[in-house]
This record gives sequence, C-alpha cells and structure tokens, in this order.
Amino acid sequence: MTSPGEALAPLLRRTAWRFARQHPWQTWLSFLGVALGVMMVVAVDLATSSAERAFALSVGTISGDTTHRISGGSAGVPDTVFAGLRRELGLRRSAPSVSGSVRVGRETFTLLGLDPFSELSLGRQRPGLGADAQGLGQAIAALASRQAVLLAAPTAARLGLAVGDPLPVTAPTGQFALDVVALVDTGDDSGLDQVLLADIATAQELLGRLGVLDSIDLVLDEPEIRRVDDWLPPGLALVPQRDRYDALSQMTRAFSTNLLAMSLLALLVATLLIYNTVNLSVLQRQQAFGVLRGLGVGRHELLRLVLYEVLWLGLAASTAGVLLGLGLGQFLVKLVTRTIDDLYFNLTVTRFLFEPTALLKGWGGGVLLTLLAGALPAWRAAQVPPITLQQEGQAPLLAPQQTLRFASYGVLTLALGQVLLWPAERSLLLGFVALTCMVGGACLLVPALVQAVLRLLLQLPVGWLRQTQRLAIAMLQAGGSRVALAVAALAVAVSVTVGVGVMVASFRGTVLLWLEQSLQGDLLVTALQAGTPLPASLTEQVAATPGVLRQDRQWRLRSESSVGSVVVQASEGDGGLFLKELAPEGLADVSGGEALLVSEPLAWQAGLQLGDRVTLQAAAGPLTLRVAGVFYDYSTEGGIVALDPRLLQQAWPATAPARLAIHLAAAVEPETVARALRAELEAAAGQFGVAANADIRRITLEIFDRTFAITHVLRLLAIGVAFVGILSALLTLQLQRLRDYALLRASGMTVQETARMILFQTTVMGLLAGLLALPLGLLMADVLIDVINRRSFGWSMQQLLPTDVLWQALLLSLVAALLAAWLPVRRVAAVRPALGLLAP
Amino acid sequence: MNEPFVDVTGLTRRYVQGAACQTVLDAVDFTLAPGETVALLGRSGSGKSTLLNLLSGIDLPDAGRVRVAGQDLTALDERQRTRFRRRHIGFIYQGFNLLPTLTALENIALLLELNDAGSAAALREARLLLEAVGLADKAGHYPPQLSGGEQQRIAILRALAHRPALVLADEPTGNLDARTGAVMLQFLRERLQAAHSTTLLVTHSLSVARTADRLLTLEDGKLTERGSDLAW
Repeated sequence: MTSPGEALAPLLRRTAWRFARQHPWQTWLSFLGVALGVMMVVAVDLATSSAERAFALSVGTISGDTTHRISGGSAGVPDTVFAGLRRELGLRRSAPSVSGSVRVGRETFTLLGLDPFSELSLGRQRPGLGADAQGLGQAIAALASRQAVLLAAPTAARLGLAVGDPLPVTAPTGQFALDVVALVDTGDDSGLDQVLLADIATAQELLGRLGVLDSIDLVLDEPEIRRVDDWLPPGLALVPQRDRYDALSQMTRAFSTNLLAMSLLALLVATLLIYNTVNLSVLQRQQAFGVLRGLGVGRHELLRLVLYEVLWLGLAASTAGVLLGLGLGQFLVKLVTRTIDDLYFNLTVTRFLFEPTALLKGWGGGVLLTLLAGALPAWRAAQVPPITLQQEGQAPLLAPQQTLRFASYGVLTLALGQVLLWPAERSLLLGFVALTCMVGGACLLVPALVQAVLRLLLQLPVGWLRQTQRLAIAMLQAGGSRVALAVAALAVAVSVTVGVGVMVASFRGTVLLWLEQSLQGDLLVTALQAGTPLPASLTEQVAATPGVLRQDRQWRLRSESSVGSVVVQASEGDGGLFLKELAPEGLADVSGGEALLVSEPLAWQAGLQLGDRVTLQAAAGPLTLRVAGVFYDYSTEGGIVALDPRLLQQAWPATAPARLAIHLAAAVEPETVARALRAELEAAAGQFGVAANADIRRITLEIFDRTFAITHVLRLLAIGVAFVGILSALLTLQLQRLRDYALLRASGMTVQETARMILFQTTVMGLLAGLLALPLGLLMADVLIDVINRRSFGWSMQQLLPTDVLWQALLLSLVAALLAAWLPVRRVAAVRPALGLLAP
Repeated sequence: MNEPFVDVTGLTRRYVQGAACQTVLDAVDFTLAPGETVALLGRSGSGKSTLLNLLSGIDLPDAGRVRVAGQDLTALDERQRTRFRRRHIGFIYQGFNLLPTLTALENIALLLELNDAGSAAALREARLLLEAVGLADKAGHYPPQLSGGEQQRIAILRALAHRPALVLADEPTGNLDARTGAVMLQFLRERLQAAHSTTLLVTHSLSVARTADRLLTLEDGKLTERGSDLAW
C-alpha cells in the first residue's frame, strides 16, 4: 500500500483520466469555468498594471529623481526665484520648467519647456536630452535656435514629419510654425508620445508666460530643505515630489481596486462552479470508489486521486485562462487608459505591457482556488465506505441536517461581514473581506432557501400546478445541493450585476444632481488653457451680447495649503455648490470671509471636519480659515476649497476670473448666443471657449459612461461564468435523471412535454437565482458605495434604487437559465424510451 | 488437526440507533480450514454483510476476535486493515462491480499493481490470465461492452489475480441466467482449486450452497453449522 507521500498507482491515475474523457461536457464546463475566472483576473490585472506603468513613466518623464518642487499655484513662480536659488542659496541642482497645451491640427500636445543646462545639474534622464554631457550638448545645439522643438520619433512618423519640417502649432499666444530640429528615439516605453520639447524661453513665449515658470524641480537634502523653506517668498510652496505623485498613483490604484473587486467576484463564481462539478464527479463515482475501498485502496489514496484530477484541471484551465486573459487584457487596457485619461491626467502611453507577475498571480490563484474548491469533495470521496456485499445507495451531497448547519454558518458569516464593515470604513482590505464574507454567507444560505421554496411550491393547492410541474419540482428537490449550488452560482453572478448596476446608477444619478447644481446659468465661457485669466474687456463684450441677462464671474487657481496642493475657487451668484454638510451659520461665515467650504474628497483624504482650520499659501500671505461646510465634487482634480469671491480677490489680488457663467433671458436659444459670443471672441486667438451647460452636462455624462464601460464588460463575463455553471448543473441533473425521463417517455409523455418540463425546472431555478440575487446585489452595492468607492475615491453618493437594474437582473437570470436548458432539452429529447429504461 | 485459516471467536456486533440497540451478530464462533469452501446462507438483514465487513477488516466488532492467516484483524488500525485486505482478500460481487473507467485487462491488473507488481508486469500477468480463460480478445473492452458472463469471469479473475488467501464471494451467479450461472460456478470452482484459496460463499441458492464443503446459516445473529458432507 502506498503511503501518502508515494505516487498514485498508474491504473488509479488512469481511472481519473478516463472518467474525464467519458464525461466530456462535465470536464469542459469545469475547464471553462476556471479558465474564464482566471481570464478576468489576469486581464484586469494586466490592464490596470499597464495603466499604472504608463502613469509611472509619465511621472518619471516629468519629475525624474528630483526630491522637491517649488510651486506657486496658478500664478506660477517668477523667473527671479530660480536665479535667487542659484545665486543666493547656491543650489545648483535645480531646473525650471514651463508646460502648457498647444494644438497640432486636431490633436492636443503638451509643450514642455526645459533648460538643458539645468537639467544636467539634476542628472535626470529626460528622453531626448540625455543625462550625459554628450547627449546634453546635442540637445543644446538642437534647441539653441528660436522656436525649435524635439518630438518623439513615433509621434513624428504618425504626423508624417521629418527633421527640418515646419510644425504648425496653435498656442495661447497665436499661430506658430516651429522647426522640428531632432527626433527622439524613445524605445518602447515612453511618456513622450504626446509631448513637444522646447527650450524654456520658446515655451514661455508660446504659452504667454514670459518671466513666469510653472515650477522648479530640485534635489535637496535635509538642511537645504529648511534653508529653502525659510527663503521662499510668500505664495510659493516647497512640496516633496513623492507626495504629489503618491496622491495621483493612489487614485489610479483605487480605480484598479474597483475592477479587481469585480474580477475576484467572477473567480468566486468560478470556484462555486468547480466545487459543484467536482462534487458531482465524486457522487457519480461513489460506487466505483466503494469498490476500490473494498479492494483495499486507502482513504488517503482516494483523497489524492480526486486532488490529482482537480490539480490537473486547475493547471490546464488556469493556463488557458492566462492566455485568454492576455487577449482580453489588450482590449481592456484601452478602456482603462481612456478612463484614467478622462479622470486623472493626460495619460499618453496606451501600450499593453506584458507583466509576468500578473500572469503568475492569476495562474497561481486559479490553481489554488481550484484545489481549495476540490478539497471538500475530495475529502468526501475519501469517506466513501467500502462496498462488500450490497451496493451502497447514493447519498445526497448535503443531508438535511447539513443544509441547516450550512445555513447557520451562512448567517454567522453574514453577521461577521456586517461587523467587519465598521472598521472597514477606512480600510480597503477589510472592505473586501467584509464583501467576501457577505457573498460567502449568502452562498451558504442558498441550499436551505432553495429547499424551503421547493417544499413550499410542492405544498401549493392541487390545481395551482400541473402534475408534470410538481414532478419537475420534486426532481429539483431530489437534485439537492447540486441544484442549490447552481442557483447560488447564478445568484452570485447576477448579484454582481445588481451591485455594480445600482452603484453605477447611484453614482450617475448623483453626478447628474451635482451637475444640475454646479453648472450655473446657461452658458459657460472659460479659458482653453488652464490658468489663463479672462480679460476684463471680455465681461463687457459678453454684457453687450443680445440675450445675455446676467453674468457671474468665477475664479479658480491652484495654491499650496496645509492640506497639500488645492484648487481655490470662488463664484459670484449662488456659488453653484452641491452641499453635503454645513455648520450652523456656515454660509454667512463664508460670505463674511471667516470660513471656507471644502470638497468631499479633500475632507476625506485630509480627515477634515467642520470647525477644522486650513491655511492657504495666498499671494498676500498665509490665510487661515475655518471649515464651515463640505460640498460634493466628482471632478477628481484633487482637493477643492471654495471661498467668498471678495476674500479671494483680496488674498490673490492679481488673479483675474477664470470663467463666466452666463444667464440668458427666457426663450433665448443658448446655441444662438453661444455662436454670437464665439464670433466676438475669435479675436482672442482661440484662447477662450463658449459652451452651453447642456453640452457640458452631456459630455460629462459621456465621459462617465466611458469610465464605467469596463464594468459592463466584466459584468457580462461574470454572467458568462455563471451561465457555464448553471448549464453544467442542469446537464448533469438531466443526465442523471435520464432513466426517469425514459420512463416518462415510455409512459406516453411526448418530447415536447419533456422539454417543457425541463424548461419549467430552469425557469424555477432562474427565478430563484434572480430573486436571491436582488438582496445580495443591494448589499453588495451598499458595500461598494459606502466602503470601496468612498475609501478609494473619497466619493460618497446618493443611494438610488434603479428599478430597471433590478428587472434586468431578474430577466438576465431567467434568460441565462433558459438558455442553459437548451442542451439538456436536446439530450433528453434524444433519449429512446427503451434504451433509457436500461440505463443503470 | 490443521490450524484454522480463519478463526472467529465470540464475534458480536450491535448497531445503536437512538435508544434502540440491535444485535446483528451475537457471539458468533466458527472456523474455516485452509483451502476450504464454505457456503453461508441467510435471509436479507440476517447479518451476512456485517459478517463479511468484519471478516475483511472493513468494520470492527463490539466484542470477539477475527483471526485470518494468524493475524488478529481487531488488533490492526484502519490503514493496516486496508493493507491486509488488499494483500490477502479477494472480493467477488453479485453485481460484478468492475470499474467502468478501466478495460477488462486493466481491471484484472489493478490489484496486482496495487500490490507492487509493477505496471508492466501487472498487465503482462493479467493478459496471461485472460488468455488462460479464452478472453484475450476482450482485453481492451470496457465493462459495458462485455456480456454478463464475461463480466463475471473478469470479476473472478480480478479477485484471484493476486492470489488472495481468503476469497469472499457474494452470490457470484445471482445476476446470471441458470445456464450461464452453472458455467460460471464451474469456472469459479476450477479457479479456486487452482489458487488453493479459502472461500466463504454467500448465497441464497441451495444448489450453489450444495457445491460447498460446508454450509453455515445465519439467523437472528446466530450462526448454525448445517453439516460438512457437501462436496464439489
């Protein structure tokens, strides 16, 4: 007899392979379930890590190895500060930069103005400039001439440009024809796809920023940090680079987390499927295992035999899942990068990156989960008693007392999930654990619920159900835990669609409310280039335009503060803020210049509460104000604070309004006025845009819908996994009942009547799954909204109950179940009554 | 007198279900001599399954002792008893119980391989056995592709291939028609004689029982000797 460590006898191994071959549907469906689950995890992981890598590359291109940055918010940093740093403080390891958007044809590029000499002092790798003297020399020579630019070779190829060609550019200060003086070989990984590199003087001229820098990057040690802090003029702040990019990378990670949550739920559905099919294969071989035990095969050998099968299934299906994931990942990366581009920053690298660790993680996870899912059935196989005289009857997979025990574990697990939600408010990991507990707890409850509902149906008065329908229900009841597991798998998958659907609908609804309140007036005039002030003459031009009733000026600038870099905004009129909470007399305090309002993400990230104080590094000196309220904000530009406009003008005297909200007279068509305004503003060389608020609302929602497009793809895939699960359960259920069907056929039941009976069974299963999915989905939505999104993004939402999502879930569940019935119907219809009666 | 090959003393087995206690075997004593074939008769529920479970080490008695080939099975743990069953006991089932995922040849080779014969050697020996009974052409057939008689012959070869000292047979002709049953009984007798195995033959059929060396009956947990004048 072999010991646990010894290899299984070859003939025992052969029984496993032959069983798989003799039950191809069962084998392929298990395979497909695992492969689809692994595919989702790998694809999401690859797509998000590609996006994160692209983000890191973009950041690396911009910041390199610098430790700090001097920033002056929207007003920028005067040239003299850079000179002072070098002359007065003797800090040589510093480099200024200016950047802004310019248009080349219909594309927007970032024009990055650098000083090649200063770049050498930092020793950072700037694609195109190099880190050594030779590379730098070439760059200086190339950029020495006025209005010269470098661009990435792939970008030049895309635009059909070569060295020496003129590059027509529309900049805030006018139209220019720049000289392409060199092309940069960026290799495969670069953040320069949509960047034009120029000398800093050229960039300042084009962007209308003469004498002003965006920022100065520095490499500082501890004593230097203190010296710079003391020396800096008011209105400027020294910010560690790590903090700036940590905040951004945290946001991209948060987005990935949401996607990962969904793919993990799909894998959970796949795990249920594996458990179901392995359990079934054990049940089917109960007699063979009993014979083997009788012949002298030990318990641990049977345990190892089933685990051996499961291991091979896991290895093969996970490998296939990884390969499929690579394909799906390439598709998802486009959706993810587009989303991040919309949400966070101009992400220009959209290449798919091959991440071996992501593949390994998905593959290992798939194998491990398959083994875990197969462990309990394997243990059950080892408990099969040896057969001696009489053939043992087939025991149900879950005895009634086990069903009740499972249900009590389910209630406990659900309660544990609820308990974990309290501390999970600030821990993403705990949020996930709580969510997993809830899903797991619900699954454990399903067998008892299904049995209870089936019992109730059978107790309906005679006449409510036909005899064949009663028989169909009785057969489902006899299917025991197999039916319950299929229902659980479908319920979990559908609940994912409910949870995500309710979350997205709530989010969309909240964004709509926010847009309604935030978009004041009918038209918005805004600078196309961030930070460009609206000239005073513009308000006169607008006022003179026919149809304009009133205009509210809005200010918007960036400032450093005690809670990091924030956007400071102020608005005439009603302020257009969608308030979440407000201190007593809060608005009066803000109007009186004693307090400010903070955006919800800022309050969340900085832990700000009503009454806390925030110090802004204003141009006129530090300005400390009390937090009087919190307003919703989904623009995700980071923290926003809102002040009274008079206070903002005092604190930043040189700042001009950034936007105008225009109110039109009744019955005036906004587009007519917008066209008139655009014509009048044409002289401003495309610096300002006029948009109808209705258009802004529409575009915002389009961006929103694009952001969540990936969630729809993942929802469909989760349903696919569940569909495979229910098909597998139905097939095996019907095949096991072949003899009963043959008997019914022999007794005079037609093929159509048999088919109707199976369809009735699947309808019952689909409806049960759909109904169970609703509370579970709503619970999931609650966790997604309250914990995961709030923790990830700092967003809270109005909880809406979109009935269409609930109806869709029920319908989806029914359709999946009915589609899954197609194959069993065909198989059962093909049964010849005489042969069926001979089936063992 | 030769030492008995199977020695059962005071064997008692009770099943407790709630407050009820049913004594299935009540202080049963009997012996089987080496190479002897003994028939065991009894109605359904008389305790035949329990007795076979105890003789093969699948179950343990509440009282008494089972010695097979000098080994006290009640002194062994579950793993040792499984090992003992694999090495020394052969089962012939009424329903054949061939493994549907293995061919006729592989079904016979399985126990040889489990007893460390080596994969190739096990298959070689199984083929020789098949050839000896004229079933070489069925070697690659799976059980459902064989007739009832063929399946039972394969089952008998599987039970005897590893030359077990004790064979436990349950109605070996019960699933066969009278003519095939008679042929099968003859086949079994020849194989058992060749193997010199001690055999306990459970049957309801007096005609089958009459072919045994002795006859035991089990009734209400008590074992009764019916005589030893029956011969093959």
